[in-house]
Formats: sequence, C-alpha cells, structure tokens
Amino acid sequence: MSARTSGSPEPRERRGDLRLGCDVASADDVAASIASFGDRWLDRVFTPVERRESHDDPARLAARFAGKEAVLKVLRPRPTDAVAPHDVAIVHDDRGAPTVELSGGASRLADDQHLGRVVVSLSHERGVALATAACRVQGPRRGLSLGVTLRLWITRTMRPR
Amino acid sequence: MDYPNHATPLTDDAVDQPGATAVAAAHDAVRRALSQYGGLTADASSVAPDADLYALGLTSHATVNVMLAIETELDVEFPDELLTRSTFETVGALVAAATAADR
Repeated sequence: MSARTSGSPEPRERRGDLRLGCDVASADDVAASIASFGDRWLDRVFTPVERRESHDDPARLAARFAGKEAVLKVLRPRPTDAVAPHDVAIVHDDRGAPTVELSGGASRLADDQHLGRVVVSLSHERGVALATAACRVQGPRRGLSLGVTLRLWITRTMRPR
Repeated sequence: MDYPNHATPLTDDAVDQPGATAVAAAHDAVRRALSQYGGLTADASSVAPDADLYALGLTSHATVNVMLAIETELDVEFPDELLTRSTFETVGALVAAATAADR
C-alpha cells in the first residue's frame, strides 16, 4: 500500500528516477467491442483525432489502447483517482511518432507527482499490440524561475545607489 | 428523487420502493454485464458482492465493455468522476455506481 500523499512522488523515488509502464492488447478484443457497441465504444475510449489517425482499424486501435494503459501504469493512479480513457490521448507528431497528450485526471496525476513528459512506443503484429511508456520524476520545482530571477537581477542592478 | 403526487400521504414502504427497485435493477444489470463481458474466472451470477473482480480476471478492456453494457440496460451514463479502479472492483461498487449514474 502506497503512503504517497497528493502532490508528491512515491516515497522512495528521487528526482531523475525513471518510471516505466507496459501493456498488451488484442486486436480481436477491440474488434469484438466495436461489433458489440460500435461508435459508443470507440467514442468513449478514443478521441476524434485518435480515431481519425487509426482509421478505426482494430490493430491500430489496440496499439493505442495498450499505449493508454502503459501510460496509466506510469501515472500510478490510486484506486479512487478518476481517469477517463480520453484523458490519455496518443497522437502522431510530424514524423508519425506517437506522442502522449494528457488532460483531465491524467494531467492532474502527472502534475501532482511532478512527472516529466511521458513518452510512449507502440507496436502491433498478428493481432497483438504492445506498448511501453516512460517518464522521469522531476520532483517539485525549487528556487525561482528564470523570468523571476532576471527581474530581480535587473531591479537590483538598476537600483540607484 | 421525484415521486408522483398522491391524494393520501405516502407510506414508508411506498417511498422505499422506487429506490429498492432501482438497486435491484442495477444489481441484475451488473451481473448480466459481468457474465457477458467481464471475462471472469468465476460465475458472475454467484460472485460475492465484495469479491475482488480484478482478482477474478477483470481487465481494463473488459471494464469498458461492462460499463457500456450496464449503461445500455439501465439507460444511464457513468460520469468521468466514476471512472476509477474502485468503481469496478466489486459487484457492490458497480451497483452503487450504476445507481448513482446520470439518467
């Protein structure tokens, strides 16, 4: 049982530590869900961009589903933390690589635990999809931001003596 | 909850009945959804209300299917704040969530 309180990383984690998560999903299972529930299942799990980029193809959707779950393992929600499937979106960047977009409950989890950018890798072959996600623990911000530091320096430098 | 207007005061039994009926309907819907989509290693119709469904094989993929099946049968929608691991952990928790879901 974790003793983590809201707003802090896991007790034994240090700044710079790496978190990893992985998951597998089945294209057949995705196809079966689409057959049973159609657009309701697709729209409940995937964002419009994810659906468009996947062309509603079960194998590609399975890869994204595995990706969402792998990201969740990195975010480590507690049993009562609400995270909707839409809160973790996996979309392509300019080079076609998958990138993670967090919102809602997923974004709050990342902020509360001071996590860095979450990255993900997806693969699928012969109906089996695999995903791995990772991020670094950044720890709470310490000290002043660059902007505040500059303003302080300018104020002190320009002060009449 | 809104009740129809009555010429005579409602008895306790009459007041309790709508809530009890909703819980019973939710209970049936939850067990049917788990039987059809839960992929459990045990018979969903006889699983104890506090048994750990994840320990019985419920996967994250199956939770979405179970949720949609319950929503379809009860004509409700689980709001995002109910999409927690604990909501799907037991039959009892699912019944409570289904009863509390938006109509």
